[in-house]
Amino acid sequence: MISRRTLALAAALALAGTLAFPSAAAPLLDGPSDDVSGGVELLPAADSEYATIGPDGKLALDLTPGETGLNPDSVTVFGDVFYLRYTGDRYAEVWVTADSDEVTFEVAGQPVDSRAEGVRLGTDEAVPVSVRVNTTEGDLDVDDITVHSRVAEPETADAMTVDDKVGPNVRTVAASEGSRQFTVLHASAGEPVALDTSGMSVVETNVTLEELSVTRATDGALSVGVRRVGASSAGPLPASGADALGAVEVTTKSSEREIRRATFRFSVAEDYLDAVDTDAGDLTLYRHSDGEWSEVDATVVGERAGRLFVAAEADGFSTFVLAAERPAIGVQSASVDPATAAADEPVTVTGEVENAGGAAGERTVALTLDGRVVAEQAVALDAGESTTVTFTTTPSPGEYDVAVGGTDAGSLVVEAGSGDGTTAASGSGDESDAAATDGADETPVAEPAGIDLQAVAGVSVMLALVVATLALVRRLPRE
Amino acid sequence: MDSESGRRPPFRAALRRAVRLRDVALLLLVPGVLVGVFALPLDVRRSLAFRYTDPTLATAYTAHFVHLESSHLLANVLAFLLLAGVGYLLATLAGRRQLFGTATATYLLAVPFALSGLNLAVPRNAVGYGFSGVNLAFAGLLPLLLVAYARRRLDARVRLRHAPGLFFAALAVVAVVALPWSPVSVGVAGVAAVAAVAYAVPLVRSDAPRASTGASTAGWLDLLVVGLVLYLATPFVAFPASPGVEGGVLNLYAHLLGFCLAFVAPYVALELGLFEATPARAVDAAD
Repeated sequence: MISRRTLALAAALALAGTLAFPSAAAPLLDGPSDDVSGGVELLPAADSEYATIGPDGKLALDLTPGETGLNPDSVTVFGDVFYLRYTGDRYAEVWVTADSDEVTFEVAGQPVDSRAEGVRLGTDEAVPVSVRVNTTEGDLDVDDITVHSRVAEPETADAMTVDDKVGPNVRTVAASEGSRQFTVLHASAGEPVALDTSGMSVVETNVTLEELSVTRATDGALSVGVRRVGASSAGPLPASGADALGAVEVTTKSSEREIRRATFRFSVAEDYLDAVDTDAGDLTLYRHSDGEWSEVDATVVGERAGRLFVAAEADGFSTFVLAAERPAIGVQSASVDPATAAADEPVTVTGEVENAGGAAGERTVALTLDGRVVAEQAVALDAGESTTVTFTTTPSPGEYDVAVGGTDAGSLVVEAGSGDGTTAASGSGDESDAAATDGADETPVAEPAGIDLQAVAGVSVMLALVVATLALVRRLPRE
Repeated sequence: MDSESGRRPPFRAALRRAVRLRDVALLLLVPGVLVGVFALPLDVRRSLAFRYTDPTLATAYTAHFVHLESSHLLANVLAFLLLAGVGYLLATLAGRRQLFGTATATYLLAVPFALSGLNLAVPRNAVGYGFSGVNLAFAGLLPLLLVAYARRRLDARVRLRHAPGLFFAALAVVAVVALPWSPVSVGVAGVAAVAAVAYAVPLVRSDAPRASTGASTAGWLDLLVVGLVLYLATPFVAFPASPGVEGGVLNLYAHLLGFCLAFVAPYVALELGLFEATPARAVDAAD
């Protein structure tokens, strides 16, 4: 069966001028189309300025928009001007011809202007068509193009299939430093399609997206856009203290339900990790989708030439933020026991310390009486871990406001007596040792007689400035 | 009191004549000893620190030369070079080399015992170490050296009896910056400030003639200003409001003891006339 369809080819193709090449790939399978009989339809590329569906429902091509015209005496290729899609339930061989030898049509760089060179399409399969225009032979006179289609049985079809013609059926378009656009002509359900994003900047050259692998839930075409966005464009991260390093936005014209899985592979410079003071193990990928955050498992999968490779797998597209987890260690609650003590009676002060951050860390927790530090101890906690610190102290008689790590533990009243007060306090970072212990057995508190190095250096600088100022003042004219 | 008189010679020439290489070498011995002790193994250094629950005569002395961290050592060496260095220049140009030498020997040999012993007055399970108590002793000597220098080189109306004014001014600063805000701390600061003013008033109202004459104050005035700035900055840096440091608490008590002892003892000695100033002509004469 051969069907024949005449299309309007608008405007004079021979006008002199310059044509802009289409700058981005077409998110294809939506929008109006021109139904050609035989189950083949024509769709203008969504971002193409050359193809439109006219009021009569027909595809119209205008290769000289805005009167810019064509370059004379040259060959011009207009990439991905429109799409051919087969909507039938068998297979079709499709080719396109014009009424001038100077206008030819191509799919994936190969001409499709005869039955022998036609493109073979399966159900719901679509291919972008480019237009090659030759003005070296003088003015053009083109009015019609013709789309030919023929039903082909799988076992008898001898026309080239899309896969045969284009090899890997993935097209990368409009690659820039911070964005990529991909068109997958045919993706099989459940089979991952690797999209080569190598070198795409996420954080300058320090973090790059090397590969995005997409798995469709059903067979069909796929258009994927990846671009770098501001690290904080999705708003504050859900984890306490986590620092957003960079973010990418992944979009598709397909339904979210058609995306089963997306796997990212980032490359991160180890020097950069040092510069932002984080370990590879503390890198996390956050996904921001429908206004909600979720954490995507990220693992280091390799290391080469001073760079780490981090892989993360998500079940859909949206904005993804690569973040460095930080410790957020704080004292959640504190208490003092007893609240009223006799002179010389040891008092136990406990504090519940929690690391609410996503990374392990250390912090020195201080016991203060009326704001004066009387003892300190270091606490090391993994992410999400908590512990109890315990101090034992025997203050002088009086009333004190007690705090652990800045968290109020309540008031303490020490009654008058013979004792003149000692503070021998130390704590335990281990819950099993949380009970009050005898101060005499504990490590003595270090009491260095010292001056802050920065303060002494500051005084030195100040003295140098004084001397310099006096010398300058003395050089000023007296009159 | 000693009589101050005479022409004011050019500062640089006087400095060259007054500073002696032997004195400088002796002073530099102190940082050398501190660095040498720091080079000992950590366990040895810990054994030289002063445990208040297990005090010994030896550690009462050695603890003041022990540092466990390099930043602690560096800060104390730098502070010593500033305080003792400026003190030495003031003393030698004021003809008070004997006072400075005796004070230095006392601070290095006896003050460590005094500081450790007085720390035992507040029993606690703690261990003390570090040189800054001795450094603060050199700060305590500065008021005496500043007035002696000012009287000898700039204005003869300045007298030894004005030195307590500087001493109490520093105490007022300590009370304000180091003590928690309370009626007691306000009272201490107020009394110290009143005392400082009371000692300074006679100087302002004095109508005696300025005795020092001669060439420009260039250099002479600079050293006085440097000494004053250093002296007044010391209480700010040596008595921080938050004495907690990593792994312990700064012993501000030792700082205060060192500062007060080092002022009171030589002040009394001077008032009793135990030290005589070297005549100006002898100071300025070439050796």
